[in-house]
Amino acid sequence: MFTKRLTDTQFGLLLLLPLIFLLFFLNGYPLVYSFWLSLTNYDISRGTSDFIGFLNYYNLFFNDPYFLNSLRVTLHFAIEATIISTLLGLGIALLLNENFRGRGLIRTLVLLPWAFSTYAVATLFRYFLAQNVGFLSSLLYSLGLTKEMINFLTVEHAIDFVALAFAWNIAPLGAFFLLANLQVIPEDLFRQAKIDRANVFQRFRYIILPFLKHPLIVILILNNLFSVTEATLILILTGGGPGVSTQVLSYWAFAQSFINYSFGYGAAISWVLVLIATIIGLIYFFIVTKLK
Amino acid sequence: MVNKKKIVIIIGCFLLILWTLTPIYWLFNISFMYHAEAYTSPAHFFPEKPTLSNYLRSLGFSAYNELSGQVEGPAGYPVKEGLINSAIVAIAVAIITVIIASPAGYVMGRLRLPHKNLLLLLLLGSRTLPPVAVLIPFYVIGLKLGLVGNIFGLIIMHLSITIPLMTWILMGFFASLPIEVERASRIDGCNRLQSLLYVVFPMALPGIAAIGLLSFLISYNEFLFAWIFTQGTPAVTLQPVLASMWFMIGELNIMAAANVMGLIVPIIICILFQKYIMKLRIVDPVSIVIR
Amino acid sequence: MKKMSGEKISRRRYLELMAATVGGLVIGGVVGYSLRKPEVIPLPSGPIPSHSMIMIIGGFRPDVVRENIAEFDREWNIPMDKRTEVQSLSGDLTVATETKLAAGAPVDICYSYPYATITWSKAGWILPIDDIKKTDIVPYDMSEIKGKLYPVVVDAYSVGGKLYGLPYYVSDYGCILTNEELLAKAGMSDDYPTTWKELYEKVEVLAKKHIVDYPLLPSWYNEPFGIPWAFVLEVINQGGNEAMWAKEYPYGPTFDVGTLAEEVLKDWKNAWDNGWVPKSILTMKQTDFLGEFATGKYFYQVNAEYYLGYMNDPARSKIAGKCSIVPPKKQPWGLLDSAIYSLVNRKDRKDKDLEFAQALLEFLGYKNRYGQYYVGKRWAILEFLKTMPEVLEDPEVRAIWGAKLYRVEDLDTVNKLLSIVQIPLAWKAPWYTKWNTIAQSELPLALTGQKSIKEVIKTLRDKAEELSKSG
Repeated sequence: MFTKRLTDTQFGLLLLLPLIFLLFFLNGYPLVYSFWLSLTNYDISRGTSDFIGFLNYYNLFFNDPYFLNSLRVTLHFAIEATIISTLLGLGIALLLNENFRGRGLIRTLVLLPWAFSTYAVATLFRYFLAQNVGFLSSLLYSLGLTKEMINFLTVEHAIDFVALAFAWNIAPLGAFFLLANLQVIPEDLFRQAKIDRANVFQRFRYIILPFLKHPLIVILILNNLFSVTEATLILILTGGGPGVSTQVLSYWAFAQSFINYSFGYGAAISWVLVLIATIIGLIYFFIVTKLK
Repeated sequence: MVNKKKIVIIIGCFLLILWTLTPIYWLFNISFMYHAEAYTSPAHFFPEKPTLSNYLRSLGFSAYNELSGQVEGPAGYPVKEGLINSAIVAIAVAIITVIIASPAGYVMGRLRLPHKNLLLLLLLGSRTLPPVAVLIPFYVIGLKLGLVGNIFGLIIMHLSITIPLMTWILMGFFASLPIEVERASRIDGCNRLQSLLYVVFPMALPGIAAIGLLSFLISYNEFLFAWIFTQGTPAVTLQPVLASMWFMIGELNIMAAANVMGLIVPIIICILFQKYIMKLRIVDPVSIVIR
Repeated sequence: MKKMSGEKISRRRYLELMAATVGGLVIGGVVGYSLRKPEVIPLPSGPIPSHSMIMIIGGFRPDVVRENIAEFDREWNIPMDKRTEVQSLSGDLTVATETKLAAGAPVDICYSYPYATITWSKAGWILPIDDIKKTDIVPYDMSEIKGKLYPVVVDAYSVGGKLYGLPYYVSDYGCILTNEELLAKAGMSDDYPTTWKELYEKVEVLAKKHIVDYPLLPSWYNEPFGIPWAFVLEVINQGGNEAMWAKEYPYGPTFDVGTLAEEVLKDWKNAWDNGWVPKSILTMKQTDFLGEFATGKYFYQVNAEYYLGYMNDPARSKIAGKCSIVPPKKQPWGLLDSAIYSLVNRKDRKDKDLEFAQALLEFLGYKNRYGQYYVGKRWAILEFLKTMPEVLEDPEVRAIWGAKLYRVEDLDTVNKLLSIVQIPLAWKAPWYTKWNTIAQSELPLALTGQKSIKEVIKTLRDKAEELSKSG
């Protein structure tokens, strides 16, 4: 049966059928529903559910004192977390690409942080970074490097530590994907480089980078996606605090929906988030493709 | 030259191990301590009164507490069920994702298709919406279809996350594979399906293994949907159980012990899979045809 | 004493001995048998519920709850397939419960809080209990029970004059717990503050002695019941409810810039700037907050009185046996923190199911069918939670806790605190939760200096005004 000649298109569509089915049903309906939600003022505690058009968005941009702060914090977090995770992933991949004894063991170890759920990472790091009972401050204090127990989650720097925790969790993902791609690079290219006496940077730029360009885009966009939509980490690690200094848009959307019961408003924030994620993703896309 | 490289590698590995293991060591540390000791300032780097009671209690046994001189009952959280359910769901998700996403990724990466870009945009777009926004419609659908409270509903939910994502990742991977090998196999008499199964997929094994592993981990670690769909029911998975330990009087040590136990299955899967991620085999089509 | 051989024991003596032994055994058997735990005599053709009853709870000691429920099932001889089910939800319990109630999920008993009670009773999800009458299934008349409750409970959980549940726990949040060991070291034992202002004065004195890094651990942690409650209670303790809210529904704000509320925030900022409190308090969650005081490195903590149990437990605290509580002298301390068991309006009930649900409610919130405060005593003994005044007078409870606490008189201090505890009026209005959430993000800004105190008070007042008007 299968030997009958199918055109490229038909064969392709056949293989894609289950995917298309899943996509439309499982993703399409909630997408449409949540967009419709964002156009209402659905609020369980007030019992309202009227259609109000784009009023939520208007209120968000012009009437909400927290919006600008959330935007700033989100951008700060997303960019910092993405770049750290990607660079870390790249570094790990390059290191693990080398042949050395114990490579297998290190590879398994490196994958461990990714085996933690964001939730577990948040709990772990909140205790790890605690001022009085946490590992880090206790270590610095015991070694005599600091005179008092440090509070890491301050107004200025809490978001940086959240980004670090995020990178700790997610870097292995990029590392392994990049590593798989590094392994595809043909050996003779490296042999040629050795003969030509190319140094490390030249090797990286002319041999590795062309092969890594596309995977790097993939990882950048993925990390970006994960970091922009991350709400659980913030929820558990800092709860948006201290004050509002780690209140990223994704956490805020969650808080509006499930703490304030304003599902309509929360949905509107989510859609603004989609817009931001897409814009940042496109920016990364263009930057990396322009890198020749 | 070689020496310099060796030193760089050693330093790199040392830093990597430090970065990766320190928080994990901390987790292990707490899991072997009694609660009162876990809250010491400055913290103890090694338990003064090590105990297995956290592990025992989270698995449903009673254990003796040295500090209070009393036997403490089981922790009362369904950790065992959580561990088993999480493992089942994650393995099922991994297998199904590989089966569906591999051909889909191949198509997107290889074949020229009209409207391919549109589908690509849809794929990406469907994942940008934070899970928070889609929780309610999913819960409502889930209730109506009877998917809440059992394993199947959760598997389907996770598939909706993993399949688009893995397809997209594989797309690039398949595109980077040498097309000559494929063409050679077609010339040698394979039809399209045979070429796919016997030549392309074995070549792409590292990528496919990678996404199998990824799907497993994404499902195993997924919290939001697991919480909404299975919490409070016998089908509860590990993450909601851990969450419920934390939300009231968080028993940090019990949670650490449960977390450590929750790492066992992913570690095993990682060890199994990472072998495949590393072995790259460029398949010689000629040897395949002679069967 | 055994006689040496050679002495013959006469036959008669032998028979006497045997009779005495056997008689003793028989009497002992009869006495022992009559002292055994009362057997549950199954009702020969007793009713059982037509389906499993379902109780939803939060993450607090689900093991204890399950044991309580198992006892209920035992008392009523409920068969295996109809055993009562306990579902433990995680996350914000009110939200999670409300999701279930709104979706019409089958539930019989749930926990309810003052603000939730209003919303849920209006939505018709929970039922009033005043008219519950004694039947062959329901053990007690509600009229008997109502007179025995803490009056503040009836006040807090009545909507439109109808009561909507029985107490799960009644406690005072916002008392001052003390570390007596440290206080003795500083020479300040028994020198307790009598007002909030005095607390700060004493903290200043203690800070100068440099015994620990931070003398005070206030309730400013990042939970809905953390920093916002700390603010509200400090105001109403000093100025009464009228310092925060109006007397009538919808209890709009009376506080403003230039009132006691601003004073309180100034006291807070003063403590913050002087370094009397650890700055990491703003990101702490409840577990961290409890663990911190248990390290023994603070003089005072603002917390709920039932954490006396936790702080005096050697398994969880380094200051076990050394944690006491400040009695109320010139002003009350804290606010009413409580929850009730509510009877849910479950739609698929048949025949006697409603009566069984009512019996379960009474079992949990009052006495079991044999007249014992079964659940109440268990919570008091295991977790130091109080439900009814009579439970705290029980000798068994007093014996157990007297041994663990710093001194047995602390039990009386707790009773006193509970008898005069205030409930913030605005908690009876549905708009309060939203305001609480806003306060949770606003108040820290005054401390970190990101906003001025006047701005924060103004924002809080404006929001309260806006929310209470729109209902």
